Amino acid sequence: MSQHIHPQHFKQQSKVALADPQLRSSFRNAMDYLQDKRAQSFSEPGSFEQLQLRGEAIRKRCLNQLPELLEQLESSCTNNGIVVHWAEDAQQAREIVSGILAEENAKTVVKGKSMLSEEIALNEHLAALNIECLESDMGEYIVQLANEAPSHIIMPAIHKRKQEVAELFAKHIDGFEYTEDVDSLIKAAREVLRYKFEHADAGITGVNFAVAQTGTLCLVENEGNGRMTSTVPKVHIALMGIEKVVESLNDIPPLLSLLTRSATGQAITTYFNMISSPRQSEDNDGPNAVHLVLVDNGRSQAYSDERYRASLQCIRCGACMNHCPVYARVGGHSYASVYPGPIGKIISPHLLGLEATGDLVTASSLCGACESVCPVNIPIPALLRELRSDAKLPSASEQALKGQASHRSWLEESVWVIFRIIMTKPVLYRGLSFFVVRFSFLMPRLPAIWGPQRSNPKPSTKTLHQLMRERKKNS
Amino acid sequence: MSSKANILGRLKSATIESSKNSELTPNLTSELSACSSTFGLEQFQQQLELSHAEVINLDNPNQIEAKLKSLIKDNAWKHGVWSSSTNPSRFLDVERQLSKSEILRQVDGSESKADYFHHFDFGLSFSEAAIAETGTIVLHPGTNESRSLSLIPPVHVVIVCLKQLHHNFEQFMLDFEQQGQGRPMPSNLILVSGPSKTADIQQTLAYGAHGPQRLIVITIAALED
Repeated sequence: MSQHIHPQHFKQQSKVALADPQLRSSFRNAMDYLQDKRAQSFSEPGSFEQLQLRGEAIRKRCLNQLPELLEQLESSCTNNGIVVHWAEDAQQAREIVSGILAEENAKTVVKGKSMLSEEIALNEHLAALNIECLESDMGEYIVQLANEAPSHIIMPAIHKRKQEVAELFAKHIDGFEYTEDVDSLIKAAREVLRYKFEHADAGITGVNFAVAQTGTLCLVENEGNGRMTSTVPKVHIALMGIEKVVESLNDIPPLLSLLTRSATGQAITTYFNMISSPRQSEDNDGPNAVHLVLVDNGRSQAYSDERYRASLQCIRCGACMNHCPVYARVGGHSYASVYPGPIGKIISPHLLGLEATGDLVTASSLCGACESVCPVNIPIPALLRELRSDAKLPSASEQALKGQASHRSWLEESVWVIFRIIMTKPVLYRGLSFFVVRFSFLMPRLPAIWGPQRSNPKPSTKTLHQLMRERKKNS
Repeated sequence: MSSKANILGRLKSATIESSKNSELTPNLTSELSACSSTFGLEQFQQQLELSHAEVINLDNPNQIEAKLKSLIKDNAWKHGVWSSSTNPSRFLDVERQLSKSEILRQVDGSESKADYFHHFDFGLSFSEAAIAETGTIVLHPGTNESRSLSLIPPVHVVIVCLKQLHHNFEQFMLDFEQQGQGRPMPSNLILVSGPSKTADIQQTLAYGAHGPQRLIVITIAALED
């Protein structure tokens, strides 16, 4: 992951991505496919809006009672025999996980897909402790073999063509006979991973939703690796961002429907796994211990600011990135943050600070496609405008974001001060416009950034006031 | 201060106008149900088949043994394992037949991990419920049924009682909660809507990613609740 830790180099990274035709075609094809699938699943008029209204209301209601629901979740889980841990930041979360693994004397770990584990850089931490942590989601497994980070939160290897996957497998899987047939590739990975599931000491997964009233952890997946990871090893560790808690079981069906339809256009995924306790004495199998690690890592900061709280409504479907014209062109790795695309732009500043992510918040045309497909109606463009402002200006209130005003530019501010003076003083405005229209022929050729294919703009020879006066006179 | 106290402290000090948004919670349950279309076996079967599952409809429990025998023969399966239902009364007739029959072994807790990974060709279990709208079966592993049985062998055969067919997930959840009457949730409840699959390589769908490559759903019309 070392090559992906520089969101501040977004512009350079984007340029490299834009110059790679294969990468662009991979993303274009994948985005077209995912957009089409989503559209088909909401083809009934009004079906999306109706469900979106419910999803938004549920997430808002649950966030409004977040501290109470977290306490209730802890108490329900504890009653069920699930051990609950709290981590303020990535380091605490990593240490909690490695502490559990040390207690269990676990040396090999299989991991189901968890973006939170990427967020806290868990694999690197465990590798340093000589603990093998193998990704078991097919896409994650592929990017792990390539020593890369996921480029999409739902389809981590979306940037890879099957030829590249075949080459990776040939390099890393013993006895693999080179093939680009997708069924055979999946079969080869299946064999490797099933051996690992059988022999792993512990399993780590994420959590899609957790139900406070019943202490139930919900996992959404198609492959079965989440079930394997949470069933076969003797210990299951579930990592969860604190915002994922919902109040009751009845909150789950609409959110699940929104999640799977928005993400991949499926009415439901192959597996929806509800785990409420470790193996009970009467159970036939299952892990002897289940641990839930509740991770804050910047979320309480987003929560404390009313403007940004909506970003915690996210259910991680990835629809915003699938519909983003910027993401589709620059790809996931250009952002160099764990969460790419529109949602990444609004949550990364809380995780990494605005100094590192100041360019990310500008990487949007504010076209609003993300907001229009968001299943929980997060006003992403409005939040981006707020973040742009926070990156440039000191906080008006006591609360400041990490890196607030770090992208402040005196030149830019001076330009706006001068602009404001000119625009608010009629004498100055008229005087200046008088000179501008008369000496417009002196305007130089605009620099190359404007593009050689464009003609130089020609300012009008008359001011707007002049034109309006003439119009009035003629009429 | 502990991490928990710090996190909760930050969240509690940030509580803002909580009443404003809670008014936003409309009760749209009925609308959601109303907007969904046909109900029943046809939809259940159609959805399952769309997800690449195989559906076999039987009229009565007496047909199960012959059906299983033909499946075993056609597929050249050697080792099958079955477990009785967590809610056995519903499938008593079928379970009696399977107990008498020697075509496949019943889970007795002596099975090892390796048995599931390397020995069994298929696992047979009973569903807790079924959901028509999405073509979903609900599994409730527990006392009798192992979680591994429906997950690790390459084929999962599941017997569904049509009396347990719900319109959608929402309805199932409501009924399940009502029947539970405040009892804690089972340690594991799983919704399954097809064989294991992935589209992680170039959006090409492949079945049998980690779990079963085939899901065979047997419905028995005459099963009483």
